Amino acid sequence: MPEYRAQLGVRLRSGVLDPAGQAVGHALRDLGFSARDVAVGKLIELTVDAASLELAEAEVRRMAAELLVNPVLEDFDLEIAPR
Amino acid sequence: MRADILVFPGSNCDVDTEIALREALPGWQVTRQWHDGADLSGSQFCVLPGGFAHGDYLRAGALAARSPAIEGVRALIARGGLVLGICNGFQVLVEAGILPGAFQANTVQHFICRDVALRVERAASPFLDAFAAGDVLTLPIAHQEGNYRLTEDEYRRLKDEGRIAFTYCGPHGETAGDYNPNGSYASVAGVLAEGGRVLGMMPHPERAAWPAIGRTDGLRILAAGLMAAMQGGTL
Repeated sequence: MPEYRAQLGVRLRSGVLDPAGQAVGHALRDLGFSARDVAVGKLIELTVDAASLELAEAEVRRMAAELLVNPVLEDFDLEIAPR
Repeated sequence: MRADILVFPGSNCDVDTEIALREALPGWQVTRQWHDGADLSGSQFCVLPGGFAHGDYLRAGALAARSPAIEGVRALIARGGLVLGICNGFQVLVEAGILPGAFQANTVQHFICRDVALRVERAASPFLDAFAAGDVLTLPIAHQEGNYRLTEDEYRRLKDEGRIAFTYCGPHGETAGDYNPNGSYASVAGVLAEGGRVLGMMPHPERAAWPAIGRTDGLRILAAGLMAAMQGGTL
């Protein structure tokens, strides 16, 4: 069975308060940088076995829906490729 | 009658909860059950305690909410048992979809540990039998991710259905002013599932169960819940 490596970038939906982003932005400005609109997200990487790229992507999207992403607060983008 | 406390790796309020439950209604068998292999089939009352289940990895409560032990909780709810999620336990119930909403980090960007005043919004739940709507309780909170998010529609529905249990308030029950410690939507501190037999709350009743520390409001919540579970009878 072919292996596929997936990367999910999980970020807070726009408009959702991001206390971690705010805190990091504040620290960057304290250091003298001009950073603003700082957002802190998560990167999740995993390998799946699947018969095709399409099936692999479908399975990872199910993982996102069932556990990895909270759709109330979060969005994600997915990159997936044969390993 | 048996009350069970589910213990996950990272739970840290399970012993306090056990002691408080014994104090609340003597005569109950109170057990702490490790999540893996937990059997709630003989239980009438289950607490998901505070702590950091599974390290709160991914999101607070997310991993515990998908564990097999939660199927036992769903079964207990289905047969009319009472379930109380305290702090991290509330987060687990929300992640499991048993209660609505989602949790985010406190707007103040740090951990908060202090007493808060809470207004009882609804008295028609077994957990709130000892109280009247409008009563003001004092309980401690201790959390980093207590910012409870609801959509406006979810909030209205909960309110219409009488499922808002507690809101953060001032010393006399007032909600005007800055009495919301963590940014929660509409200052909501605790909600009920349909039927009122599942309660999720961020404040810790087990830490307000002792006359010696001048706090007993939590004991009243625990005692009312246990009493109702006992009267539920034939579970």
